[in-house]
Amino acid sequence: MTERRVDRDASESRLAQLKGWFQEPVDSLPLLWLRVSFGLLMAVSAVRFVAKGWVRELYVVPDFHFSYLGFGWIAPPSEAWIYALFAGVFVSSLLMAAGVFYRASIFAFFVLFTTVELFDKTLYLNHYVFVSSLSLLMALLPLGRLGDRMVASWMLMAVRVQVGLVYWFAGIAKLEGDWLLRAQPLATWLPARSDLPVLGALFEQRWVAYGASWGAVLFDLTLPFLLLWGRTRLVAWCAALFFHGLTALLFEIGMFPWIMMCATLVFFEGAELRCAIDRAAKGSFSWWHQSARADSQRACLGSRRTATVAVACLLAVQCVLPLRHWLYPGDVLWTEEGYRFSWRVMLVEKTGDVVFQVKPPGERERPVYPSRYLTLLQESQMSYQPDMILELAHHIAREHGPGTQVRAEARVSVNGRASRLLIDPRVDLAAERPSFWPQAWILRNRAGTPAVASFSTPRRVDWP
Amino acid sequence: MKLDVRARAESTALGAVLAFVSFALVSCRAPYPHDELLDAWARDLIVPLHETLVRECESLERSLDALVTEASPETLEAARSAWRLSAVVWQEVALYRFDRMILSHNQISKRPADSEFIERTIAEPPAVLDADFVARVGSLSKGLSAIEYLLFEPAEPDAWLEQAREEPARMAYAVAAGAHLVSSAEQVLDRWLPEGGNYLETFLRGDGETEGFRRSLGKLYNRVVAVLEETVREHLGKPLGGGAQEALPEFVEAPASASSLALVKSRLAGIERVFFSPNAESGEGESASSVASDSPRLANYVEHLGLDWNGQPFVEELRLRFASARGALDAVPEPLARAVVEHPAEVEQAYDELRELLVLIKVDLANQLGVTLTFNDNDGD
Repeated sequence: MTERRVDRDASESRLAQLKGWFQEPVDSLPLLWLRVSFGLLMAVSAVRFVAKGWVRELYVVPDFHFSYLGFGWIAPPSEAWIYALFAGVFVSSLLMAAGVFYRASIFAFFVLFTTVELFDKTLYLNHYVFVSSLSLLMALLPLGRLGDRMVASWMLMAVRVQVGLVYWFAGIAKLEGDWLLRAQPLATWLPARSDLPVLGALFEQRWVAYGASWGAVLFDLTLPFLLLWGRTRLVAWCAALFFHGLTALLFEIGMFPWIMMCATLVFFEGAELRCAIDRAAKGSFSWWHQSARADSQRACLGSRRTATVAVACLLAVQCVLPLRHWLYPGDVLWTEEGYRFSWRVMLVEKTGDVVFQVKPPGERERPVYPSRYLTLLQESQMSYQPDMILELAHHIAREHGPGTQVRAEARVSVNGRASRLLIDPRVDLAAERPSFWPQAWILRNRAGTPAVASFSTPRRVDWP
Repeated sequence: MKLDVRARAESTALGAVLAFVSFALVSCRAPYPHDELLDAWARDLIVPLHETLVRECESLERSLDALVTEASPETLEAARSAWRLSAVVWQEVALYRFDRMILSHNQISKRPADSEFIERTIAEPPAVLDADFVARVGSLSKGLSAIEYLLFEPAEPDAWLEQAREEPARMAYAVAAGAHLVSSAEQVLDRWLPEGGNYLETFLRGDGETEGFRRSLGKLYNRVVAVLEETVREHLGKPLGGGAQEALPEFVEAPASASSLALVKSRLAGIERVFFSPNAESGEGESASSVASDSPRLANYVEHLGLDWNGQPFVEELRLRFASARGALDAVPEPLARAVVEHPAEVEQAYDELRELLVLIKVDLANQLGVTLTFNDNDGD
């Protein structure tokens, strides 16, 4: 009886200790930095998107848009409204950066940005998911009134976990055969940049691709922990700068490297940032030191229990979501079931070619090419993603009237392998329903599925 | 003692770094000469092709002048032959339609010809029907497609000559279109040359945003895929009927001149020349153009990267597929419009072979080369 009470006391004490640690006030400067830099980068991103003409090219020009399952009701509005949405993203980003109407601006940013991303699945990017996730997390935290205040340590930790999850899961995703044993897709991508001066000659070497592949795994898996540990933090952050700088140089990946370079700064303590800023400004910001010394007198921002629970739920979902591909049979790089929202960053080189065979009732089958409905970018993305092929097949069937049967001959190459059929060409896709369940019409064995050349002839195919 | 240990550790670390750098340097084979490949494409292939086009168009213009001077079955046949040669070379030149060149290219050939406008003009000709007049009309009423309509309708030489005698404006239109065609071909060539638009410089060095090799390889590769796709879908698939009950011979590319098959072959030869130089062991057929041989082509780059396809060198597979496609096209009897009706099996075989080649280039090789097939520079991740 006494032993039980001792145990209970000990666990209660540990719980209290943990609670104390979570509630411990810490310097809010890293979060202030995140709010300002993230807001400014998002404002630049919105301007860049409009200036490059992508609004028109990606949302206005296409006649057909691929929707996310369950979000078919979100479709691009008229051109003027899309520009208005981007204006909204721009303004809310700046307001968020300045901390003006913070809650409203960050929430508006999250809603507007995410809505734009939901317009067309073709434009799915991991970094857009990160932006949406981070902004939702930030909307749950009281980051508008930071100034000289302290925050509960769990808030800072939540943001660090959010950033760390990207690296951690990106590292786990790389623990697979193609990446480790064949150095793919880097063995393809690096020689493609062998025209670069100095480094170019190295990129043609196979061992460089292997070194980069294994190095990237090591980097992704260890970076969050090395950033958390004070002794290795600076070196780890320099490594992150080098890594993201190199990827920005080698690949056209837009804002992602800059977002991550800024986001990883949240791993620094407030005092460290103050020192760095002070040193860089040669003493002009010495008042920062003074305020840091007076931590005990500074007010600490708390939050409502509901917000705390919501943050916990958000992070928990993100811990589970990237692992869902294990529930599907076959290789996720091939089937893409469970591929999105799982931080599989720069993991695969895929190309494909799709021809639909359409058979309206009472008529003979004829080939229909995706270019009739899609832009080049949409066609390229659709050609190797089964759910997008299914969605277009349904659209084609609707266009040709009730009872139309649609098959797809999709030839796909992954990470330098010879192309294979991705979809069973005998299946009427118009009769298949999209769902989160494993799709029987996807041919799952990417190495062993024979390519059937004879399906390419328009008049030779007979229906089963 | 501590200093000794530290000094030893430092010298060991330095030695390790030096050893690694030496290993890296020694193991590096000579990097691929990307500039040489671009240079060879530009100076040994693209520019000579454009020069050949100008020469063929000039020859067509001369033959049209001769036809006007003395309209006879011989001069008519000479003009028709000159048109065929120009059209065949054009198929190869049209592969190099980059950036804003589409407008200049449309001046040379845009199908189908606007026969209604042409007939209206012939019926009520303007006071001066010359190259300046043709320059002002729409792109469907000029260039190779308009001249084809004027030269090959009707197909029977005697009927054509009689019609030409009755309607002098018909020959005048053809001559004017011929003169305009020469100036259009010269303009397209001029866009490449340093003394003109100097696109050569952009092709070789890039546009300031993307480096020369990556940009030009991407642009050229995308054109290769686009032209091959168009050939398979539009010029072979569509006349085959695309699964319809009957073949659709009216959809062949150049029904009036009955040269559709020659145009398909020329387009394939043009694509093959991007990959292989004419003297390489590709067995490539003769071409109307006078491009340099033995200069490096894309196959050299593929070979340098050591790419393979199902365990064999990728270049060998490419060679095989090109040869199969060529062989299948050679087996189709002329003209294509009749072949799709009377010999559909041969046309289907050609369709299949070209489609296999398309998949090999568009899917398999693009995957291994890391070429972006849409050339959209939206953020990746």
